[in-house]
Amino acid sequence: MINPNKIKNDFSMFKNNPSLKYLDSAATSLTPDIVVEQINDYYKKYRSSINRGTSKMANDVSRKYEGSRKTIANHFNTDPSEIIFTKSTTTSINNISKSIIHLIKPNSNIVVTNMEHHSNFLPWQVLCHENNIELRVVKANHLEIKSKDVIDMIDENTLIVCIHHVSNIIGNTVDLSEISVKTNDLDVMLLVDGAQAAPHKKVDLKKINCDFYTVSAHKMCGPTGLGVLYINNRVVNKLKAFDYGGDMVTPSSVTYESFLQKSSPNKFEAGTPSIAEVLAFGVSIDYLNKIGMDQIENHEIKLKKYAINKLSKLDYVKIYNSNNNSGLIAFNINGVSVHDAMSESFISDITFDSEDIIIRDGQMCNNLTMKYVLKEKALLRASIYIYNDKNDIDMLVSQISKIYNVWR
Amino acid sequence: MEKNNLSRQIIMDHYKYPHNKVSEIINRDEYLFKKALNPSCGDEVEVFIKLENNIITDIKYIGSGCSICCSSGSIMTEELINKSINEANNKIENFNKLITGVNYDINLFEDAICFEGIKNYPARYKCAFISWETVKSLVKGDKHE
Repeated sequence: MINPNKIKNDFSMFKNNPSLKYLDSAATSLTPDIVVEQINDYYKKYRSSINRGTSKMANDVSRKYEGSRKTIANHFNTDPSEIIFTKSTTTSINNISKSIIHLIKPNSNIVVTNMEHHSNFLPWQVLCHENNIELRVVKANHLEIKSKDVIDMIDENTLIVCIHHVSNIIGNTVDLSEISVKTNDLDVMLLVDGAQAAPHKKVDLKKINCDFYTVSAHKMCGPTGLGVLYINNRVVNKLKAFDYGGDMVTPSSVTYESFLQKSSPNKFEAGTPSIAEVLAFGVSIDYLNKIGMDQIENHEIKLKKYAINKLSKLDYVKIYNSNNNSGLIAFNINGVSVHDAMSESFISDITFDSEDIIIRDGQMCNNLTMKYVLKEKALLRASIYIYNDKNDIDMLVSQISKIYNVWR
Repeated sequence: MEKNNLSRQIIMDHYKYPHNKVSEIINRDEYLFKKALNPSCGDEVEVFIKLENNIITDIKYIGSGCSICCSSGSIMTEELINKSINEANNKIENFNKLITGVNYDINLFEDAICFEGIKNYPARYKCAFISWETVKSLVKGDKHE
């Protein structure tokens, strides 16, 4: 069982901010000290580029870099050649959208849903507009995307299906198994946005059997500025490289006329990568595995139940996702705008911020869910992670009640 | 502190009992109107003004959002009604100064001076100015967005 108080000791953020109640890990998680130390070690002890020099130090760093890739690949039950490092989940998805343009036919279509984060919707909307092909939007049914509704939208002209694994507002998990059977049957590509799933549960990419899966390091105790993109080896040859330049090419092959690309993952990693971040993310993955992904998931579900039990006693709190198994709590306080609840002003100094309770307000980069599914302009989201405990929830609930009393 | 409490009370009054706030305008063609959004927090206002001989003879708004956005919209309608375009522009410019801590003409305003405190909360600037900014844009000739 997870002991959040013990885990808190691993994070200097809590020592430096003793009253911090951090409930915003769905936006970005905190980073344990061992991960920060790994970043420091790279810059202080063995700063060097990878796959370029032949010095001992450069070789060591290259080995560590590939070691990190292997750790990440093992964690997701896949092969290291299928793990690509990018800048972010947004970059990963945009890169894929650009690398398949040449596969578009006049009658192609792309399937997305109306619960996608902007980063898994806008690239596909733009691709469809620019190439005059159909964008098929699967609509949520009772606040979730049903796999049957996705399957019904797919046909032999579908180029790619782009869908979240876990929704970033509601926290529902999409059942991907039947969707991937259909996409594989029809030889349709399947991209899964795993940014809100990978930090919270065991993700087995062999089992999911998709073509692309995206992960944000900064949401799972890792550094900012690093995305992990899984590209199934079966589609590598179909894709254009994202960028052209150093390390994606066999150097001796470059002539005035042509060049030879390396195979994956190098094909998709032109230029000097985020070395410190990749090394650090390997440490984050080890850290999470030491706690155990199943333990993490259970802890979040249990603490959310505790929170829902308390919140449901406040009749002025509207909760949008009481029943699902996630660590996300999407809610509003009746009669209180999210901005007034969050942000201090000369009108009220009783806010979440005033008690160092960090949650997210607004539209969570997902206007589709807000507008078409929840039909709300804004809401509040508290998100639970490994370091949260009952006290964080008690403080949240108590502050909700104080804020309500200011504005009632 | 006393001044802050009074300001707070006036703002809360306008928030709870807004002036010139409507749920819909039936005769839209008689008005210039424009919608404005503050996407980070969900503030949304649509302002309607009726111009006759360069005078704002009617002003209404539809809106939802935080206390500062809504009360500022209400106070704005009171401050700008029956003003000429030039007078309105001058007031809007001075209101912008008022909420950003720059010297302004205090004699121009009634309830609007309650927003002086915004200068200490730059994150709330947009909330306070969004409806005023919309009128500025409307009298300049932008509309129906």
